[in-house]
Amino acid sequence: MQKSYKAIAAEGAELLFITSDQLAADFRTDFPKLLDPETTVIDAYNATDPLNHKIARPLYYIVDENGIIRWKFLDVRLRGRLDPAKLVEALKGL
Amino acid sequence: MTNRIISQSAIWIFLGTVFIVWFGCGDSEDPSVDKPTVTEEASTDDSSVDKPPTVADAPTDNTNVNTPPVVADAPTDNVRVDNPRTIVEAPTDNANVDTPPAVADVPTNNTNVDTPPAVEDSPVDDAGIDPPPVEKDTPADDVIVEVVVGSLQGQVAQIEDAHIHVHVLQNGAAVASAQANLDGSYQIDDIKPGTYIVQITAEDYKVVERTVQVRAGEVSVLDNIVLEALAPPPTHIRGLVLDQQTNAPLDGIRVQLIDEAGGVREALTKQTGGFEFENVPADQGFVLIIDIEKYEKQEVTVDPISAGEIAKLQVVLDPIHIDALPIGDGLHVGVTAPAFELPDQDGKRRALTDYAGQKVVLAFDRGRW
Repeated sequence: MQKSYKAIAAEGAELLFITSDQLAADFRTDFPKLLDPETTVIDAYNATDPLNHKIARPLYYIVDENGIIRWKFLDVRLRGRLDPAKLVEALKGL
Repeated sequence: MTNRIISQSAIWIFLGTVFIVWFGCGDSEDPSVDKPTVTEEASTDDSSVDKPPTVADAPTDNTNVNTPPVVADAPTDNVRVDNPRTIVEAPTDNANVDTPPAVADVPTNNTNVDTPPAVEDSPVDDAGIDPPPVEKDTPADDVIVEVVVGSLQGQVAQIEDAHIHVHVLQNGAAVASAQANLDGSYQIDDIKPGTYIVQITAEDYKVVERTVQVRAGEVSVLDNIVLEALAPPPTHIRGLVLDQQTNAPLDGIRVQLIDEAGGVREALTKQTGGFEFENVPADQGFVLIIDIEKYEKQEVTVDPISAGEIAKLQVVLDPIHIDALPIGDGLHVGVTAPAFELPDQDGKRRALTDYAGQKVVLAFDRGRW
């Protein structure tokens, strides 16, 4: 995701990484990492890992300029992550 | 041969003398008598003129001159002739006022031989007096044409989409009717004199009424009539928006109506869930769209509506079942992203609203797990 951040930014989008894992904040990235230890926001977005309600499963949304969810991705594998190229492609299509 | 010529000349001289005497003591002082007689004679050579042949024979037989009851020159009374059909047009060409063929043999030095026509053509004592031309055209007999009807003609400003009818009414009853020409003109003949209401009608136009006086022998004119189109009956679309789950009316829902040209009208539902679009164009279809959060987008095709009719719709909105998705399957696309505010890795609080007007990628992740 870090590698694709420039391409995402080039589409005029901001990337917000949201996790309940405090230690994830230690990873060095160019994009903001938001910490949600209580999984309040994770739950609101129904991104809760069904096998572990304390963490989020990998889930991706594109929210448009008006705050409407226009695109989302979840892998068929519960813990599968998104190929960032697909995200950039989706941004280009919106 | 010479004797024969002489005797013939004598006969002609005699006849001419009689003729001159006749005119000298008769009508010769009246210039109007002679001219038409010549005219009548000329008409004998013109078969196209409807003249009694008896008058035309005048030069060869003087007895005809005093007998005709149909002297074309009777100019004495002023018959008012409004009907052109009664006017007899007599040719004025005098070139044919010649002697009969037999006279052609008469020696040329005896000009008096030709007197019968010559006298008629230009009487010596009436030379230079031109009879009024109108008298030439007067009918041969004393026809009194009593004109007992009049006409109405008029012009209505042209309209393209309806026939114009003209009714002549008296005491509420139509005494004559006509359909105007395509250019809006009309004429109605044979209307008895009197006062009438002229009613001009056309479908989808307001009725125009005018009072018209019709006089005998005259044409009453009614021009500059402009028909005013009736306002088309209003066409409306009304509807009700309900929640599919609760069947409750939905208040404050934005409803869009797209016409065939792509024009957009908007309305909001009231507390009753009702909405309305007033005075929409008739005879064209629409698409009604309700696209609001928490409900699935609805598109309803509205068939063309006839003028004056009201289309009634009921739109049932299907709520987006956020909770129905299994845990971890996320939210429906199309819903509003829930607002939030979280600290970032540096403790700085960031809210979703900080990024309003910009696309935002939200990447939920398990972290190190």
